[in-house]
Amino acid sequence: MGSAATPRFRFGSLRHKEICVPFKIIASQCTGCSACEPLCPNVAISEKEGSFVIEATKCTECVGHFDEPQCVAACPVDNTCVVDTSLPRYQAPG
Amino acid sequence: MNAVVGRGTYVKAAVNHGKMMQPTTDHKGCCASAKTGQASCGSKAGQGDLPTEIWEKVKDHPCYSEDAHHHYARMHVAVAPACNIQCNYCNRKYDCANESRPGVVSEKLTPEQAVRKVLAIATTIPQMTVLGIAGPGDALANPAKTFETFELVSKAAPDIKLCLSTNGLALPDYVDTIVRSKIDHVTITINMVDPEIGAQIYPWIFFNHKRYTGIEAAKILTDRQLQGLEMLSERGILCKINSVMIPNINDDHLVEVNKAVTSRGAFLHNIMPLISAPEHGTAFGRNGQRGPTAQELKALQDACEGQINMMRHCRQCRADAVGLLGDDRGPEFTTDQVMKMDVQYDLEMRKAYQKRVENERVSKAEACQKELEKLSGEISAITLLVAVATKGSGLINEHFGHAKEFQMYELSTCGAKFVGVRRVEVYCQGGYGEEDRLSTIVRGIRDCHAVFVAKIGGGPKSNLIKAGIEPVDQFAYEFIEKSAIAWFRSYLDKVRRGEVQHGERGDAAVPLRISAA
Repeated sequence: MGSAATPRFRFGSLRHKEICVPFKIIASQCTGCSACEPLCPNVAISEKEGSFVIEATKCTECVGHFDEPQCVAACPVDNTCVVDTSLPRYQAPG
Repeated sequence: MNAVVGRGTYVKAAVNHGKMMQPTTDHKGCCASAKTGQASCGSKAGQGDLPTEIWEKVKDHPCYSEDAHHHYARMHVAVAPACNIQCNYCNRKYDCANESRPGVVSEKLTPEQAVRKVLAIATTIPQMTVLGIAGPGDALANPAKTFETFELVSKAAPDIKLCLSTNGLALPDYVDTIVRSKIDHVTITINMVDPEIGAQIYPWIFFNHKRYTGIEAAKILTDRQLQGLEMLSERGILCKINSVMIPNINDDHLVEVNKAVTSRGAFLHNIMPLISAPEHGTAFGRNGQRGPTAQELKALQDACEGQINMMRHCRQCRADAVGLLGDDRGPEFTTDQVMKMDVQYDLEMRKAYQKRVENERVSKAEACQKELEKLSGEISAITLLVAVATKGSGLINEHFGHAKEFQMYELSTCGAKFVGVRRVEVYCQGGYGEEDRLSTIVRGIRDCHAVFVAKIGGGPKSNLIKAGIEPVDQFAYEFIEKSAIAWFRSYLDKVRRGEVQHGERGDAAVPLRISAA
């Protein structure tokens, strides 16, 4: 029943897409509400010690899946899912 | 009184309402207009005008039946942390065990933990008849966890009624699942049917993988809410509508909301005061948006009454509340404690206990009816408020100093009508009272003519008398309505004999936190 509300589009590749940026969740601001977790098309989000974390290597900024990063759009606390500038930008394969 | 001309109308209506109206010769016995005239007791222990099949659904649901809330308890399990909209009166980061308001919980539960907790509480509190999922986010923004919990509970404890609360955004998608899961009560929070007003309450919604803001967001939300309500009504599911009264934003508009939901088959409308303080960290708390006063709230509730029942006994409870509505026992049932408990679900024991409760309700209704008959010859236009200290069971069984809340009854020749609750800080702490708290309580029930208690100390007693409120302790441990009517009859006698000059009580300048009824 959850799948009806959160269809997961699976595109073959992101080859034609621009370079994406990994997101991170600021743990001190995360309420642990889990809203982001089922929305991530890359299954990159999981719970860790009461708050949620994004696996940077899996994050594609939802490019090819949705118009906007789902974790950012659903997060109840502003500026909690943010671009992780400490990591190199995601390179689309190709 | 129904017509809303402009702001402030409700306040005027409230003042007029309590006034001694012009005595008319044809005003005899119970007023015919149902506006304010329904006494809460009846021959069928609270059934009133309800058809039997509806009464069967609500008679032991404390939120859907005012009469039931004196006798039966509910519990919420916090399995639904995620939400799909942002409301200006909600802050999801706040969690304090002493804080009682929706959206607040102390710990999240998995469906398995939730079932364990339900069984433990059903055994410890056999009058717990209802399980609700009300967040702390939105039940339908966490559909997998919500419906899994319901499925597990209905297998393990089939006698427990299931209900859920939602903001309605996802509701149309889950109506069929709700029917399949045997959920027969759904509460939808509807604060507006006008997107321009909605834009002042909801900064954004998350819908179809996209964040919407402003009027566009509010338009989607109201369309989905009303569509969901219609779909549930068609399928015979009882719907309660919660509306948060926000002065100068949606207070006048809630009359429109009331009409919109009534015409779509809602069963009960619950208009609640905005809870807003800077320390809550909500948008409204931070920008100084005030909540309504007790009088503004009551006037709006009165204005909406007529076509639909108005709920006035809501305690705006937490998403992990447990117990009778006025007495949250949630802290006794942490996950650690629940896991340690040895639970044997005993359906027979629960049934036997509930049978005793039903007998008690019948005695209460009979006593009330008998007293009401004595009132039938009375002719008077006097309507007044009294406060009652009670721990439940429909009895005057709480000490003044221990009362966490007072139940408010409106007395007239129609009988005793439950009209609301006033929360107070407990006056008596460790045997001695604190003067500040006492005067806060007195101010909080200043619009009452009397306060009914099981017991009261000398100090508070004289303070109440000084404030013009009669402390009444001669009905200790007796039924509330019966006692209130008996007292009202003797009050009318005294007025007639000239021993008492009936006067109006002032407006209770109830501080915000206390007025949260």
